[in-house]
Amino acid sequence: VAHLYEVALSHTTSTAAAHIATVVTAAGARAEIREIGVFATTAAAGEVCLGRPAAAGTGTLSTTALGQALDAADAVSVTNLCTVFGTLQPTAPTVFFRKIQLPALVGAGIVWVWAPGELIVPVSANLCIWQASAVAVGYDCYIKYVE
Amino acid sequence: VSRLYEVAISVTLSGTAGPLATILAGTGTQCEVREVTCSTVGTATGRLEMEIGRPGSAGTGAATGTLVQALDADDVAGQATLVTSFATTQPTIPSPFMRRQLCGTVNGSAFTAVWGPGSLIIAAGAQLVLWSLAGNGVFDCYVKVAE
Repeated sequence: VAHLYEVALSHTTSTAAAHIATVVTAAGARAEIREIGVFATTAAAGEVCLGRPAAAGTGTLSTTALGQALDAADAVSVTNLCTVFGTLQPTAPTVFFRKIQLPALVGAGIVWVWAPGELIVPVSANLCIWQASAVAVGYDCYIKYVE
Repeated sequence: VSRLYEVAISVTLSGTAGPLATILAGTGTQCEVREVTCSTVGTATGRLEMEIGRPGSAGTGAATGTLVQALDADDVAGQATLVTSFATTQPTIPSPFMRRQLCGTVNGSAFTAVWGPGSLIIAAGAQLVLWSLAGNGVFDCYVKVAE
């Protein structure tokens, strides 16, 4: 039986291309992404991308949020949305799935959706919501997924 | 079984009418287009008025581009390529176009074109051109396809 989870966080990037947040799956469960929403909370223009990192982040998940079950009776999720890894941050995807430029407006955003069975993050893997532009931008972001 | 793939690129256009990119189906399999999204990166000199259609004449020669990426990492590699240049001749203008859509010159201006399963098919080895009327600037573009 598949269970649905969501989790949201806020993060402000530095003035360098880097991940905004990374979906981190555990050894025991893959995640099937259904939706990702990213919205600017500051008036700066970010180029938001999505992809599997060339090298995954390493070390303890320092700043992270655990997925929350949409049905409170469901099992606790083991997938995290992480903004800071303890040792190494994930590196830029070699090829991106998606790229979109956001205008320099508070509230500018994008919602990406996928149907059941489409976008899969394997066990113990990363999927990066990446900012390609070298500019500090505040973001609210959330993911919806099945585990 | 149908498998899902996506790929994203950034393209610099000079204002001359021509392909922003071309979806080239693999020689062994047809390609079903599900989504095309474009956005303006920075302030463009000329708006991206994009027409989508089958080229009058297909591009010829070696293709330079980026292979589509499997949304499920366990799937076989995709065969379609998002092509930015052909070595010998570029695809010619479609007639008629299937769609006309617009990204303005404003940073973050964007459009998304979507098709349902089984709707927009590129035959094996054939092309679908994303034609720019007079785009002048940098534009992000991603496509989602099924094979």
